[in-house]
Amino acid sequence: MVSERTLMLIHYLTGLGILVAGAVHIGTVFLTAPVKENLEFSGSPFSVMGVYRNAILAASLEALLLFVAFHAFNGLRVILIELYQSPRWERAVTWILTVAALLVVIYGTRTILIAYSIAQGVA
Amino acid sequence: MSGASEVLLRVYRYNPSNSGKPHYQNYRVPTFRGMTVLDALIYIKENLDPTLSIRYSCRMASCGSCGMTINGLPRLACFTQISELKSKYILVQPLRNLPVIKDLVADLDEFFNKHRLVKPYLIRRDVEEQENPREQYRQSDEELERYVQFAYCIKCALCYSACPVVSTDKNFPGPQALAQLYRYYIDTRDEASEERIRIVNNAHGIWRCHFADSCSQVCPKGVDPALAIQLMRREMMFGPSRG
Amino acid sequence: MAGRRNGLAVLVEALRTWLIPYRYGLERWSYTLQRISGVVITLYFVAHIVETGYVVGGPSVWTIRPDAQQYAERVWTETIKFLSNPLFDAGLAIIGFFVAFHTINGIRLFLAHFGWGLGRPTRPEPMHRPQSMSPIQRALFWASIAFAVFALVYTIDAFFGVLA
Repeated sequence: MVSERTLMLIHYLTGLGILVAGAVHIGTVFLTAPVKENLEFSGSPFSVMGVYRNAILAASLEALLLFVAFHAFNGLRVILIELYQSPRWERAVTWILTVAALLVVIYGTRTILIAYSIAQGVA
Repeated sequence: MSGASEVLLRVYRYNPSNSGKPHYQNYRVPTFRGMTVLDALIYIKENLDPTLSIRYSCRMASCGSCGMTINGLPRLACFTQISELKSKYILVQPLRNLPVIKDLVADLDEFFNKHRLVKPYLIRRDVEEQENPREQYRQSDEELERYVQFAYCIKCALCYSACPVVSTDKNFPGPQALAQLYRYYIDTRDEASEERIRIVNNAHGIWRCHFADSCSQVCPKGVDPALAIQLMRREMMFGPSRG
Repeated sequence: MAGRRNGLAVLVEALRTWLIPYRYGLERWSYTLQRISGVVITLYFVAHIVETGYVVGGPSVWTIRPDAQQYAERVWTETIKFLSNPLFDAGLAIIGFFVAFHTINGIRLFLAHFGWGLGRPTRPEPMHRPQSMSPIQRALFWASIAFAVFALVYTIDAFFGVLA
């Protein structure tokens, strides 16, 4: 079992990670050009495909996915085990949320990898 | 009547032996300058309704037995003047987050059990010294300052009643117990740091504090349980004997 | 209390304490807002992963299709068209508000949870003010509100162009 201290340490560190990776994500969408332009499929350097043409920006999206997945689902776990107490409930909450977080990470990673391949002209 | 001023007390009534349901009862009480809510409740008991149950002892915020919810906030009845509430209408309920024994008397058993859980006493590794101490332990003013504030706690359970985590998480030790944990942890005479950390490093332990600061807001003795918990958490993250 | 608590009573009690911060001061409001914003951002996050997943083909596609680029461009354009209406734009503005609040208040809690910026324990004098409500903490709370309002206005402006 991972100790609660370790879990919360990761919670704080992923929070800091989101601060950086999230700032990059929001910054590229909102601050580099008018939003409508950046939300186009391709064209400007920070359009959807534009972001994936840059390996560092694509990697920062993957990092953001990992950080948010842990931070969000650990947060939900905290709320749910505070809501009701029984060993069975706690085990169920932990397992279901771990599986859900893994599914989100796997699914999101697939999206990022395919988008990256498209942007690199593999397809 | 002199003063001629009156307040309306709306008091929570519940008597389990009558198989009665909780309900509220109104009392009109004449006030005087400096009258506390406890004075008003004693007036009700002596003149209007002897069946009302209250628990009190010292009447000077030293014993911590008259904690109750007054106009929505946990307060000591003896330490709350009617004039400071600035209202002609006073709602008096038992402490939240605790079972009710009768009327305004809350059952503090679980609160005291959680206090016991953190071993609120000095622990020495030397068993002989623990049982029959011979030495004197000198502390500097600075070492005393680190914990003396938290030693002012009178165990009135107001912080426990205010805590939003305690209200749903029955295994959370609560602000009072965690503050006392820090008070002994940081005491230079105590030698049980690892043990103390082990007690609260679990899924319902110290990490469940979210710093809503309601405990410090309601403490009648100026103890700052929220501060103690955060300082304890710092020790557990970076301290010499972290968990 | 324990033992007699049924599911609905637990939920009602929990929501009552979590969502009604009234009377307990600023920090209790920050606790409530942090919790609400966390849950809302989580929902948005999952929805965002699902929505972007459909652009490259949805849950059944795990390889790169021959027409991947054309397919993605078509679905993306359709999705953007579907999502560009005042309802979703307003929703996004609220998400912006919550993200901004959760960020700055999160920094405040990060510092506080490690005992930074809280002051030192002193001997309590009468009418003592808790050290844990330090000016730095107060300032950071108001900064998180201010930043959240700024994000709200900025997002509304980005989508509706009211300030232009």
